[in-house]
Amino acid sequence: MATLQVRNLVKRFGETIAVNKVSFDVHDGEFMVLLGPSGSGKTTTLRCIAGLEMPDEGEIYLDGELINYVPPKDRDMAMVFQSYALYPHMTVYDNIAFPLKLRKLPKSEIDSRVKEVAEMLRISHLLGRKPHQLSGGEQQRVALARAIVRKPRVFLMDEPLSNLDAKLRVYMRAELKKLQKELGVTTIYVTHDQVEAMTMADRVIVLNKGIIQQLGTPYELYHKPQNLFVAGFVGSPPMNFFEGELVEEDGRILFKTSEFTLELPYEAGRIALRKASGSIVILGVRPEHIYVAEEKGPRSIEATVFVVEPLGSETILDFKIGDKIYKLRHEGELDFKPGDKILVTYDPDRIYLFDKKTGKALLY
Amino acid sequence: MPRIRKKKNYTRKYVLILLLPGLILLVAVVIFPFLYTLWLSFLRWNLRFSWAKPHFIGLENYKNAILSDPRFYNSLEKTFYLMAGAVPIELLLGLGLALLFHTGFPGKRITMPFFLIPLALSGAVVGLIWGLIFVLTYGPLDYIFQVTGIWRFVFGGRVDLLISHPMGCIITADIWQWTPFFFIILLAALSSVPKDLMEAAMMDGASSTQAFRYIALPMLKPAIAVALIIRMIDVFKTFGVPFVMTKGGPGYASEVVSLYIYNEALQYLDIAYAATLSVIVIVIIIVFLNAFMKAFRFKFTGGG
Repeated sequence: MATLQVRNLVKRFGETIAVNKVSFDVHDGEFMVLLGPSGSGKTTTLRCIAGLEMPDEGEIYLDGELINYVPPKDRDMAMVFQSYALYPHMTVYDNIAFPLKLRKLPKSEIDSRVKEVAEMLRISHLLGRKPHQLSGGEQQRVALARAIVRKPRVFLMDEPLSNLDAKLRVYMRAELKKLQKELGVTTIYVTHDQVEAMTMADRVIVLNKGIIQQLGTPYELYHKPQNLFVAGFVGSPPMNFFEGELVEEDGRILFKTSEFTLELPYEAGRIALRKASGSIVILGVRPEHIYVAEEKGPRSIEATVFVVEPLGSETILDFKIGDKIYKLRHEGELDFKPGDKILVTYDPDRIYLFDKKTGKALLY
Repeated sequence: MPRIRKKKNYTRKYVLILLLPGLILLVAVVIFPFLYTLWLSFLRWNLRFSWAKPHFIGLENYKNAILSDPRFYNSLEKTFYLMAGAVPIELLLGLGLALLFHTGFPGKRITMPFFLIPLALSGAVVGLIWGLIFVLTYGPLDYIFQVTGIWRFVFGGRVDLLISHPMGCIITADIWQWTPFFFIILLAALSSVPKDLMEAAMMDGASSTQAFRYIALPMLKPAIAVALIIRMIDVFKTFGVPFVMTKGGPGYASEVVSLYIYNEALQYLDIAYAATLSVIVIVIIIVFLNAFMKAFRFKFTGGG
């Protein structure tokens, strides 16, 4: 049971700044996900917390105690590596028992705890095997078992699911989340997969270029992205962005691009106009909030069908306005062929506006 | 585009043709000399007596070597001294150096080649260098031992180490020459231990010593075994250093087995008897290595 505070963490590798003044708190028992593309500093942040990297600046507190200079072995954190890092010369049993043996626990207790954890992860039948005789999913469970068996204060997981095949990954996602809630151990989980982050996390930290872009619940990330990066990174398929000019004409707020002009809801438009640093803004609309319109209306835009991607329960429609490609997501099937002329419209309450210069959200 | 022939045409004929150069070389430099040596060992043939034609005497040479040649046993004893005195220290020093270089320190790149120089030198050169170091009248060691008082307190006065401790001198030179061998092999092996594993061990609560002891060392085992095997065979072949430094002397005090064989063959020209000794040494090496590999539970095929 533990809380973790990270304050102004900075880590440099030569000239590059991997982590730049990152601060956040992780509550007791919370499942915190560090989300970001490769090179965003998420793994480096995790390794600083683990003690495998020494921060250049900033402090890390575990239960209020400064741990910057505590060696990894004394931090009582368990880590699951992307590669699983199972000890190849040891059996599964010895792999799981290793952390307990280092703590010099009595043999009988080691034995009962290893067996209990093996039972929990359904790997009891594998205890006598060596890691190279296991499948990827089994190795993953052994790595988890080795982390769980010690009952650590914090779990650190570095993309633990990324080496599994798609089906197993979906299964393990739910499994891991359930396990974490049962054990109630504070968890920091690193991933580049926004679906993993959204489905598993209590809260998510979105990182890019070493800087926190947003910290919030999956709900907040999806509904109230604070900047262009978060808006584009969270959600699949990603949000559509239109660049245009925001102008007030005759008491109406208009969004003008070279291809079309839209009238924005007045209140939202006013706020955006006041906050924007220039007149050029980015309009964001999620694919699930764009629809194919039956007839011409005030919010309809002419478009050309580019590709239809049927997924069974839903269809992704790629369409062109001018020479740019956008996507919409439709529940059910759509019967179009590439080249068809269509009208698209959108939900005016589900639009996002971003400042082009700063990338900051203008509405929320 | 050349027509692709059917696979069947390649096999057998092509395999044989491609193997032939290698086979010829093997027969010429390994198999024929070995069989010839074996044949020689059953003859009485001493080149000193040019009138005496070689003739077959069966196992008499073996009988002589095993039952009534104390000088042979002496040479084996010195060889084992060398093995026991030098190889373990070479392993430990090499491992230490490998760890040092693996962890890294400033100036690592510049110092590295210096540690590898001894490997590039032939035994005779190493013998010459260390012979000059140990020599009493003008060697640098004499000066150092005098200044530090080692002569007085350890040896009770100036002594000629090449005479009083010839094996010690040879072992020292051997350690200097072959530590880099262990160093370079173990350094390569160490860098093949995934970093993840060491980090996982530390997260599991291991100190760096424990991580090395329980994770890295078991993974180094095959490399250590191979290096030890190569060196142990090598010790039986040690020739240059003792030949140049002590000539096996004083008396036979540092006459290792290959030096004795050399003396029999090229000093006393009794090539049949030298051949016999060579064959016995080969048998000893085979038996010795088998025992070693059993003890190490080392298998050449299949991973553990």
